[in-house]
Amino acid sequence: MMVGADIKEVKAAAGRKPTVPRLVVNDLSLEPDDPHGVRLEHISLELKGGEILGIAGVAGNGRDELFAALSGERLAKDPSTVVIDGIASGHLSITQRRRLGAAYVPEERLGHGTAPRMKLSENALLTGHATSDMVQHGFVNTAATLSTVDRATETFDVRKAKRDPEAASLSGGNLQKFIVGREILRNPAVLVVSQPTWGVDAGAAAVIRQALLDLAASGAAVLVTSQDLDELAEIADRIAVMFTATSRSRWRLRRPTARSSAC
Amino acid sequence: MQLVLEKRAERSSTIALVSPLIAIGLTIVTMSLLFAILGKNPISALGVYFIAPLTDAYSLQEIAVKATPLVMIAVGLSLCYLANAWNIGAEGQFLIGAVAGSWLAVKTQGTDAGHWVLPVMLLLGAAAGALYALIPAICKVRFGASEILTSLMLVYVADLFLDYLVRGPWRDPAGFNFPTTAEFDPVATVPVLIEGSRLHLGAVLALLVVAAATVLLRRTIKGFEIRVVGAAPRAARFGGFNSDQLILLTFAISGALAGLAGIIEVAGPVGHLQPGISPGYGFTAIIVAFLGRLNPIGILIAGLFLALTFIGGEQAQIAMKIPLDVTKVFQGILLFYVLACDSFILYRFRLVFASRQVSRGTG
Repeated sequence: MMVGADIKEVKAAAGRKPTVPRLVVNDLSLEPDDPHGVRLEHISLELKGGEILGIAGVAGNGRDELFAALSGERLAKDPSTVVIDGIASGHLSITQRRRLGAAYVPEERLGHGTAPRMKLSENALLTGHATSDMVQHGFVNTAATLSTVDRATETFDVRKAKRDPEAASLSGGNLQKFIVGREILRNPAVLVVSQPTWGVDAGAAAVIRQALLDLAASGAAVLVTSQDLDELAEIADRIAVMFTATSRSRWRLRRPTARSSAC
Repeated sequence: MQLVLEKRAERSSTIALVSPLIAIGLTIVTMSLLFAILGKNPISALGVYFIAPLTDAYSLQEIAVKATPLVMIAVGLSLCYLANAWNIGAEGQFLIGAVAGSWLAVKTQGTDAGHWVLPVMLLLGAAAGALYALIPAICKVRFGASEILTSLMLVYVADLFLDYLVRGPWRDPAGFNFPTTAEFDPVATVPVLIEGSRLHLGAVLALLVVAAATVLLRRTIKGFEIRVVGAAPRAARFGGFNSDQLILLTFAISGALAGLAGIIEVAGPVGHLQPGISPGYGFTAIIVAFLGRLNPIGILIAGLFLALTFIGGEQAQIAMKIPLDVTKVFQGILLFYVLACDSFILYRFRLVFASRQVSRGTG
């Protein structure tokens, strides 16, 4: 492939066994909050630590609403509809869910996942303020935010023009690596990712998928929503399908034994 | 051939820095034209407006006195505008703060009250301004009412309420029927910094406010929340920041600062409560906030600049018989040019030639 570097093959760790249920959704039903939204009806799923659940489906299947319900951007009336690491969280805000160890990567990088005109360190602060040492007595510890940027840059190979540029100046792939990186560096118990490699170059996509596999191998529960079936085939242990907003079928995925050559 | 306005690929930081200066330059050119039309020599008029006030100590002090309320109010407004909450009613919050603080001054008039009077007056002014600003804020958060309209309408309420008080219940009985309260007692007056001048403690407070706002916006998590909620509301929600709470907070802070400026102005330079204590400070502060790019240090410089034009306008009235209203015209034109020049941060002009010329080159 013509990308100017070797793209490493994405490999799952051998002998990965799922552990306890870390993310459970019980009969989640939610009315849309905008006229073009999709209503969620009786969604149930269970995700154990160490496994990756892929949710397949095209745009408009309710995945945005599901993300908002899982993240806490939309609250459910019944606390037990979303359970994170055993704690009923349906009524908790996104900050409270992050404190329980959940992390989120939304579909839209600029404007939702990051504030485009703000620096990477400020965007690291955006999701890390409640669960790290970035905020002390109400004051921002810039050294801590910069160190998160540095660690994400090094671990996930984020290419950028200077140490702390504006989010909007990064390419899609590099920004996505940063966003996924800042969440993974928090060692979450549960990671919910929507469209992890949409609009991302091949090299960055490989890095991100490997990072998700490694995170699951370390015991976290990873939920990936994607409309790319090849991607889900590569990284997911189980696949569910969302079709007009009800969770329909689940298939168990056999790991492919040979990887098709890419050119 | 067409002149097209197209969006830039990314924000131009050169324009962002230079835009206030270009706006000032364009305003000066326009004002020169205006002076010429009025039949006055543009060069000497500009000299009286901008240069003369800088030349003697008294004028410099007056600039500081005039800049104090402008800077204080504008810093509060900048917090609101950064959070995308449009507080246009600072004038009303200024007046209500003046009324609230004056209540204590009038109540303790003639009694032998101690030095606690002034600090409590300032607190009352700030608290009243904050509560008055929370009215449009709560209307916005609870009912979705436009805070621009509600805050602006409340200005007239405050103005007329003040008018009623000084014509009625609070009028100085020994004041020859003028609509004003009696002169405040010394314990109810803001102390002067230099003997014999009008430069008072409020100037120091204004500088403290600028310093506090700089720290708040750059170093604290609350300041970060305010900036994100305005810059990227969906990202702010993703970060867990409550935009309703921030609207209430920024309105309360700006109302408190406007109210504080109000009582300081009344208990300092003016010395008693009367109608017309504000030559439109609450509205001029909006211009100061934008000219200063919603940045506390920028606001300090912009506030001093606009105060300069206030003093220049007063002197031009005497020296060259130019009406005082020309100052307001200048400030309005300045805001117009600031906003116009700001649009070049995100957009640029391009000349597009007719498509006929393109096809001639091929084949």
